[in-house]
Amino acid sequence: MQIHEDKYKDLNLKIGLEIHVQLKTNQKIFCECSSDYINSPPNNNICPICTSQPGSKPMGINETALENLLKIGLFLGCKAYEKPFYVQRKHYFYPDLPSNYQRTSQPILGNGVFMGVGIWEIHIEEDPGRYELREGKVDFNRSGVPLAEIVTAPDIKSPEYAREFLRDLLLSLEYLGVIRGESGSIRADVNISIMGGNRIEIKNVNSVKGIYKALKYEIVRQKAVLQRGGTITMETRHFDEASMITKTLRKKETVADYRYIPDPDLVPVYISPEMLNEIESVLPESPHAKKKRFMEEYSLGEEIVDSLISDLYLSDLFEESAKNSNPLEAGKWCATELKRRLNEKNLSVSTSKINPKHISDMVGFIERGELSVKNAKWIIEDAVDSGEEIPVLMDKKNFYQISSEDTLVEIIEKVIADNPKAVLDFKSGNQNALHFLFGKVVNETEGRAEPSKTIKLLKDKLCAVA
Amino acid sequence: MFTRDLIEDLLSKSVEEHLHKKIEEIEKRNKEINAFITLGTEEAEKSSKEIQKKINNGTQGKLSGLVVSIKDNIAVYNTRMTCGSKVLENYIAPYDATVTNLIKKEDGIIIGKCNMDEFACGSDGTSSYFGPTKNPRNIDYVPGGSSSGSAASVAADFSDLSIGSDTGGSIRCPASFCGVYGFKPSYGLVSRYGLSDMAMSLEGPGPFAKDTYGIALLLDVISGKDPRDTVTVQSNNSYLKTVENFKDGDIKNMKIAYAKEFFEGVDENIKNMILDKIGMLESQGARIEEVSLPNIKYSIPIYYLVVFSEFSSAMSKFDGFKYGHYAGGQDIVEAVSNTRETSMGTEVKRRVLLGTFITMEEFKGRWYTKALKARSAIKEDFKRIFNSYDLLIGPTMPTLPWKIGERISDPLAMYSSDILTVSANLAGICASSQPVGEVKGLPVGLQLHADSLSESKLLKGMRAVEIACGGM
Amino acid sequence: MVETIINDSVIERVSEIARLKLSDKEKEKFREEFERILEEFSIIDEIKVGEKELYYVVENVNVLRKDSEPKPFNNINRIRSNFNKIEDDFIVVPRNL
Repeated sequence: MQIHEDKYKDLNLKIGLEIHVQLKTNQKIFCECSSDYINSPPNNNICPICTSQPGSKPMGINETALENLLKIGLFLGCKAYEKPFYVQRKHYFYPDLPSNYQRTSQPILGNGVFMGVGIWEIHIEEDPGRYELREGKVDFNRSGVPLAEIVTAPDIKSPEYAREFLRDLLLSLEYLGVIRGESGSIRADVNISIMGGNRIEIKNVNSVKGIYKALKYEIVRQKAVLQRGGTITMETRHFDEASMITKTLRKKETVADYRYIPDPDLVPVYISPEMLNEIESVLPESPHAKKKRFMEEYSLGEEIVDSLISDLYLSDLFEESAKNSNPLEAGKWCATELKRRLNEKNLSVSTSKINPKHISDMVGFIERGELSVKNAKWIIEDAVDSGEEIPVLMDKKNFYQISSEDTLVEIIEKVIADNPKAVLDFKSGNQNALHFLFGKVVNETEGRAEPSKTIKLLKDKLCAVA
Repeated sequence: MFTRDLIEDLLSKSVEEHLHKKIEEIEKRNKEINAFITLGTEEAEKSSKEIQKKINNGTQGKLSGLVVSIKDNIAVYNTRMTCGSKVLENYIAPYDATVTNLIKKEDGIIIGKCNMDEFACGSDGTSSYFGPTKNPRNIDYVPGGSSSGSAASVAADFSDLSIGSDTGGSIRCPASFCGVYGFKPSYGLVSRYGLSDMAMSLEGPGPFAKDTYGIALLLDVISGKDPRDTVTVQSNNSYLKTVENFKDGDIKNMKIAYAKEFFEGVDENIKNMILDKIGMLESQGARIEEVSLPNIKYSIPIYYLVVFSEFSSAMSKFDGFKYGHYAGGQDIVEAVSNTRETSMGTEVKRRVLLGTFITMEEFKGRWYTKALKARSAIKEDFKRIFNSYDLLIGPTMPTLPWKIGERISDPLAMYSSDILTVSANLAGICASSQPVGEVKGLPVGLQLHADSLSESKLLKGMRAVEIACGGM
Repeated sequence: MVETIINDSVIERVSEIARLKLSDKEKEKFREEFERILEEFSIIDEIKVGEKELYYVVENVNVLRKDSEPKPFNNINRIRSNFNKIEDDFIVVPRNL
């Protein structure tokens, strides 16, 4: 069950994504220009090949780009196809496309799954340059940077899950070292249908937040159309970042004809089983294997495990912390509270200040009754923000709970001695007196008395009083 | 003068003097012949001085100051590259093609960029935006195309050698019509990096010269694997040696086929001349047999369908934004349409439109895909022949050169003149044309084919014919 | 036999996709020529074809490139000097509002 799926249950949401990520390389995909174009002044990171000068030809596909793409595919549980793949020319006229065709390959791997969402296929392509529509300006610095396109099945059932899916996917790809850009650096075409109706495509959304917002908006919009008695026709829309709404882009009866042909300048590529084995051998544990192991080794429940394994940084943190604390508790806290906090602050394990010792320390304090569950939630947030050690934070916030029997008994006896009237009231059957006395103990301890133990000891002591 | 003698001459006399002789010829006759779009005499002068220094201390490259002209669809750094079109009238190439680089490295002197049919779309040299090239042998007649200026420059002695490109006969046809040697290398032997694309799976640069020696010399320089073109293959770069080591007796070991289909519909005079040469070779001991290439009649449709598709893709890049003619417009669609419409010639437009049409999803299977399936048949035909034979011999062109202006409007008529040359490109094999005589003062070319990457066999065959015709 | 009649709407669509604006006279001329050319070329229906399309005549496969240190192109100015219109290093093109 995906998160928030129940909220949209009657809508039968089908969401699929075509995700573009930039592969981490030194050079561009078909030429020797740098793929690190961000800091270059416009049209300064270019050559005859990535500006499509007459007579220029693509060089052989960047080996590292292909390897990184294969790593992504294997990590997502995909299989490579048996036959060689071609790079194709996808023809359309647009100022950011120097050849007015984009080189994009046939599917290279497919049939995988991640977080319960099917991965249909993955292929490699070249990034176009940048065309600023409103200003009429073109910059080819980005033209030719290698991209992986990951196409999912329409298995995503809520905008919230789409957000979580993308977040964890990007974190894991970053962990693998195969993509460039801050995680969040992503472009996607988003497909959504509601109640078995036609599919709407929203093209080129530039951020995880944008994807989430676009989906939320589309659901509202489509519901309104249906409520008015209208129907949803298949169309392509554009997401406007400024106003956070989607707008019609293309309402033609005909679908765009890209006139795909295999690019005669690029000979076919065959991914051999040997190549794949070699790559697989340097990959970290696959999500599938990790899930099995976590459930067996740590006896964690499936939902907790699912939440941990999709973010490789988080699962590493959990395992480290589990070396020094109860795995069940550590797992629960990592999978729920910690993850939630990081999402809220738009941080990841690697960009926040959290470390494994925070979790193992915290779990220890909770188990010893020195930290209440309620306060632990605050502690986690502080640890994420400041990175300070748990004992220090507990001191600062005065969170140390007193649960040592000796200490509590001493205070209880004092309170009983100081409040004879309340004791008498309790003895006559007044339950409120118990709460009153409990409140006194809490005051004496500045709120640090461990509640359940205190109540029990208080009751015992009161009963023992004549 | 024969190329080998030329080199000896260059080494003992003056590179500059040799260059000046060429410049003199150009000044005398280029206005009439129109072989060049851009001349680079200043650059050439500079190079000649540098090369002379190298000769003086014995460090000169293989070309030793020979004068080379280059077809204007091949990039020479900082030099105008027009492809014979208004589209690129003022385009200055920002890089050297691989072949250009190799020629410069081996001390060839680049004299200028040669006129050509617009974007290589033509077979007679009359469709250039910069006016037609005339046949140096008779200026009322076409020089052939699309490497018209390249062939003419060698024929008129404006250069010793030239580099053209051959997509469906664009080297061999003008070589035949102008009476010079032209060679289409096997696909992948010579890098296409820097050759403005016309039909990517069919074309490649190739040499023009006055004799087999010159062809082999230039081929050694320009062939070989290039990381800038993924289809390229290794070359043994020892073609000159092959030609130099050829002895008269080598003819006896040759198994030469001729296809009857290659003589159908060919001008009687041409037919007789070729058969005569075949007879000579036979009398010198070569084994000659008739064979059949049954699918030749489909080669024109298959060829042109492939050309249209690839050409329309190749021409997409011309939108006027990054380079070339720009007409402007209200929005990005209008600007691009206006630009393309006002700068491309008729044949170019025709091919772009047809190519777009046959690659559209609803028509693709009927034309594009079918043509590519049929292409295998042509390749298989040749494979079969070369299993049993070293060479295939025949005429290069079905007719003699025609008068300028005689054949203008009908595209089908133009296409059909390529009937004897397109198959080599469809199969990716190597082929050559060499002059073997003339009829009514107009040159006749003999064509040889050999299997892919069998350049040595082809060069030996060329040498054999050259000797049989009394050459050297 | 050409199954496809090349009518005006097809020429219109082709000219749009190819970004080649054509006058009415040109449209008619090309339409007529295309019908003739393709009629002639439909002779390829006679040839016995195999199953596979021949896309590449060379046998090269897997020509990949090692991802070494970037090699910046050394004549970027020459590329830029061919741009139709340049402003603040950007290529200027029509806007798309």
